[in-house]
Amino acid sequence: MVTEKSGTMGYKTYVRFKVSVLIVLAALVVIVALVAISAGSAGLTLKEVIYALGGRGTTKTNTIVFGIRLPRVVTAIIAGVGLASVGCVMQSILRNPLASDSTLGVSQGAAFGASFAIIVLGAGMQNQTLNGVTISNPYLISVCAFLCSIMSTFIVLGLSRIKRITPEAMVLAGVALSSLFSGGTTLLQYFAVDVKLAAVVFWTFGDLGRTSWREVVIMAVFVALSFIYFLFNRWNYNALQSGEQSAKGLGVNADAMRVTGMIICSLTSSVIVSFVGIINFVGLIAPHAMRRVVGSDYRFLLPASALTGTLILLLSDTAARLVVAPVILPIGAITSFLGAPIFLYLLYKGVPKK
Amino acid sequence: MIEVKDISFSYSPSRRILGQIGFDAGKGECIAVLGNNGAGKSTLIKCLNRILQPQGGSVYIDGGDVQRMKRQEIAKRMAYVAQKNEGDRLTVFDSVLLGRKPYIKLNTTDRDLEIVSSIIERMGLKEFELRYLDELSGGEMQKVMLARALAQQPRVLMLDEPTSNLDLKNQYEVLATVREIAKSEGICVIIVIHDLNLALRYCDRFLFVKDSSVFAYGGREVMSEENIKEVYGMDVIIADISGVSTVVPLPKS
Repeated sequence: MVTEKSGTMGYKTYVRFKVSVLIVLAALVVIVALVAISAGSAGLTLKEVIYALGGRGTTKTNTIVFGIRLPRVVTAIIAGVGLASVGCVMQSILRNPLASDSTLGVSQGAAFGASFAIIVLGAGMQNQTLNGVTISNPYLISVCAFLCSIMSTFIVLGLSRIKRITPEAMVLAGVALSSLFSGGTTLLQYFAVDVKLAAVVFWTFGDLGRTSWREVVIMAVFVALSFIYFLFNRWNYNALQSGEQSAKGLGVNADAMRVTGMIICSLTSSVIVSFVGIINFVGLIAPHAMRRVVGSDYRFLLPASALTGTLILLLSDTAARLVVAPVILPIGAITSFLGAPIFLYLLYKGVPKK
Repeated sequence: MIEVKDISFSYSPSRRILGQIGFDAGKGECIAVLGNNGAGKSTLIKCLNRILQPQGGSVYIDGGDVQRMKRQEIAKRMAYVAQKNEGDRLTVFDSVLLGRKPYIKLNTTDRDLEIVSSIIERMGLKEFELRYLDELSGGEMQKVMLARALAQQPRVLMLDEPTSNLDLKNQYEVLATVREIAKSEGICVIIVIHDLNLALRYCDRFLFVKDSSVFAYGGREVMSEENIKEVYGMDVIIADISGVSTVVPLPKS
């Protein structure tokens, strides 16, 4: 061990540890994803799932795997990567450990936008004959959700720039905006006819099962592009943690980084939220858990958070499907149940550093 | 090496912080920026590398106009250590490695790692290199920030009150290291500092800032009892104690 400490060997060993954490997380994602595909009332075995994925499944297993389970699992993976990486990046660019789409009013803004699209613009309603909910224009909902979530982002950013409010005050501003948007959503619901109200309530539950392959592809494109952008800027996020002026001294264009980052974060989270509904706290839990394992180095924190976000969503969704089967619980409720104890834990341990 | 011409800065038209400040400094020189609280010393050094954008004037490094450079290019020539540094959850090695950011394209190279490793060794941080910053003392933290700035391989190093959070021993140690690096590497160091005795001991030239302008700039001769009284409004004597020039404040008469 003495020779490892010389030169850069000690550091390289330390880096190898972080890489091995990523490998373990990736392996866990694969295992949990396979279990999630097999779990359910159809009683598929892991072997049958693997055969189906390898193109050697029966018609029945193919229908279940590719038609029902796989879109759901892929949605969980994409949404997990997206929500966790967005939270992770927001915490750096806002220099606030409690920043995430759900604590800065982004999710609530998206919910208001979606409610507006459904109730006022008629983008969806309850289908009386089939006793289900039809979202007739999911893209109109996405655009409205995005516009309202970006509005929330710009208000918080504007306050931080103009009045130079503290990180704590930024979270308070986010709480205030969340409250404002929730109030707006409630008012819209109050005046809505019951078929539209049902559509809004259904939408806000958070559900990974409502996405078709087409929507999965749209989400995948947004999440992949934003994740590549985040990875490309990993050194900038590391620098921003030292403070804005130090970051500028290291050659980072901090102002542009913040504005661009917030727009991309809002766009990504609102696309996810508009397709799967509100799924709280993933953007908060995943980065905080991984900070304790791999530290705040964004080269490792970003992929580790993304993988952890995916794990959380896969596990939560599988639990939501199995706990009171055949009833499927809303996944948003499961992640919120996880989020509250995490918040309490943060209070108990003291807010960790960014 | 560095030439500062007529730098001016204000937060608003009614609140001028700097007006027409100019000075120059050469290779290996340590410049102390002195003056009362609120005189604009910190603002001045932040204007030099455009952390704050000056409203007028120019800064040249080896003849190159800083105003025309990209931020990344500035960071290769000028390094800045802030007065307050936050102990985030990065290891000492990763934090110093961040100093290579202006040079990193996609990933770090072995050369980056070797540069960082040798600076860590030189600053006496080897035993802490895998420790997180939020586990360090104030003195260790200041050394890490200094090491990060050196990893930028700058021509000009700017330090904003580098000794303000340090105990006596660390104050002298940090400034001695800075001076030694300035001389051996030929780096021009600009230090905002309150302690006149530390400035006298470790700096070559002294820039007194008063009322948003340069009051006096020069070598040991400008560090006079008269100038100190004019700038700080205090009577002092400069005495020779054990061969070291020492500023001693006098009690109010």
